Amino acid sequence: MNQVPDKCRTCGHRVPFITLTGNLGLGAIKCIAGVLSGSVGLTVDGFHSLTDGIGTVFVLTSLHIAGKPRDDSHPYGHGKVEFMASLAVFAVLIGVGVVFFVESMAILVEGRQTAPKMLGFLVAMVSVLANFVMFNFNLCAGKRLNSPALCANGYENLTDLFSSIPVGLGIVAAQFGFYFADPLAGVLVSILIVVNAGREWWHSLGNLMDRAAPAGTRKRIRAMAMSVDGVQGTDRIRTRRVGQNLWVDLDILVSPKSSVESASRIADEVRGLLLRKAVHVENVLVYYYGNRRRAKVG
Amino acid sequence: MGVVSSKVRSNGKAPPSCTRCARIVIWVGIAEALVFIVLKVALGLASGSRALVAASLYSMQDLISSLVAAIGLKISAKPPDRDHPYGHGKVEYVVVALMSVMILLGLVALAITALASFFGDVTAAEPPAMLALWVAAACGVSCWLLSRFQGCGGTRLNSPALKSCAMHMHSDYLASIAVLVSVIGARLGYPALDHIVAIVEAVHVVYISGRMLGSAVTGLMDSAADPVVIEKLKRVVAGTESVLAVPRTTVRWSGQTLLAQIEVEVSGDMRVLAADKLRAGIQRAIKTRVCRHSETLVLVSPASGTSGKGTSGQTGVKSMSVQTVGRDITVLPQPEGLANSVGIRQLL
Repeated sequence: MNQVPDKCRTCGHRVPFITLTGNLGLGAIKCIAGVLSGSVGLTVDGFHSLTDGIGTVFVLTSLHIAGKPRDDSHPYGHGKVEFMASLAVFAVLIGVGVVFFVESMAILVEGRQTAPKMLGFLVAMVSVLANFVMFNFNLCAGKRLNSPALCANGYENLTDLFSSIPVGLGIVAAQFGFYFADPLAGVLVSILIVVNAGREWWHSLGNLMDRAAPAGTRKRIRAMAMSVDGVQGTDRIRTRRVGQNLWVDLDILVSPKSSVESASRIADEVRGLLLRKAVHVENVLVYYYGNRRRAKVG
Repeated sequence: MGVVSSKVRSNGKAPPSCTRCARIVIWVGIAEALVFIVLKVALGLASGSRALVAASLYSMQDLISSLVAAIGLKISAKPPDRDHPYGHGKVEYVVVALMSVMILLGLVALAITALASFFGDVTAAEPPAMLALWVAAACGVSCWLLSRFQGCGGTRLNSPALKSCAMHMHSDYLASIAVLVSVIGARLGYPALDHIVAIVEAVHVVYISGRMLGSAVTGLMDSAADPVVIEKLKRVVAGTESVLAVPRTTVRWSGQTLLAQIEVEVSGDMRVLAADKLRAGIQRAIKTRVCRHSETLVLVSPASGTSGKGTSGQTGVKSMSVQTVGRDITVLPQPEGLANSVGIRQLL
């Protein structure tokens, strides 16, 4: 948290607006071009971009709320709102994907004998380029700020990018008489939407349920604590994400004969070390226990 | 809130029989929904009443919400594990959110059909059959009974999911009454009553599901527990021997579980061994006097001036952690919305 440069923070605030405009614009163009050129794939793709735009509105709102400081009724801050926003956005996206899957399947089975116009192909390529740029923006800012909402947004752009490629190919293939290629692209895109949105949805759900940080992170935190003088061991470690940051409750073992005064000093040292060195750790509480108790506490 | 009623004795303990009863009552709810789906479809097809067949959709909604609640309760009862160090209690809020969204979607579907029949073909406006009346009455009675039982279980276990299930059942019971009123009104020659009842019912459903959604968001946001609970907790901790001060308490709910972090100040000369005992004592006291199923994190720090240097650097954050996992508990208020205010007053 402390290590994030200011320019990244400003960028983090700006990126969602760029993405919003980009997605809404792209969505509108693709939908119109999809209908004009008669391409199923492009229309599905366009709607996908539009839903992304709506998702971005959620992200903006959630970032705003998540930035509010702790208060009496929210002693852990407002970070969790980001996961809630993602949960809602991806739930809607899954629904959209399922609807499009059914629709494209219907057209595919029906066996249409017309090819969409090449205008569709051009628009699909524009979409690939624009999404590539937006994906990079979002991911960069998201990684730097460790914001789940921004990263989620970035991956959506990546999904858009990969979904626009088969759409473009489908349109080209249809020119050569492979009429099934265009609705097939629609089917592929909708599967892509569902799978990706499903994964992200599950991820947000886990974080809402206070899922622990990955085992590697936990291990690193334990190792850091062990490096402090006077720490004889670590017991339980509890971690969870609150928005962009990690909150940690760590149990350390100290000599049972020492005084509370000195044990607290050791605990404070561990806490200070973790806050300084561990990346994206916002809050740490270190509880010391007498080393004789090996059994789990609580 | 009428459902989760004041009749529940808030003596701070939910006997094991409550846990069993809650589990049974959920499955009874699922069975009830199944029975009504079959009944409505069969009778509807037999009598040719489309309204009755359509009404089975609402029983399906009940079925899904009961199933979701059953799954939620099952997950929430799982003990903490490596990947979920704070337990699984929060799944209950997700369940509540799901239920409220489902109810709202049902309402949207209802509004669409209502508008369609308003503009659409006249044949849709068939006269309500006597049969539909009886089925609605039976549905109303069973929903009412279930909402009482589930409400009782929800309050005793302090389970957000069960409480919401009860609220859903209660709204179904009111919906059945609404159907009865409008059918009887139509028979007596007041067809306009149908529209009025529909609007009132819609507003009520929006209100109910809005409250459910609100409480789910409150829980998922890690909102602080009710001030009354925090006060009680502070009093219990401050009353413990050798605790000089309680500078910080942070308390949140994770479903049926109360998670609190409390910092206590003791004399700096105290041995760590004694601090461990003190900590265990506080944890016990919180379990017996505030929330039976609790896991407590107590940060023991030396009071300033009692020896050497100043206070711990860990202030600025919370320090005691009372966690209640599982369903043993007491009747304690959830952050908001689902709170049973009567229960708290009596408890404290």
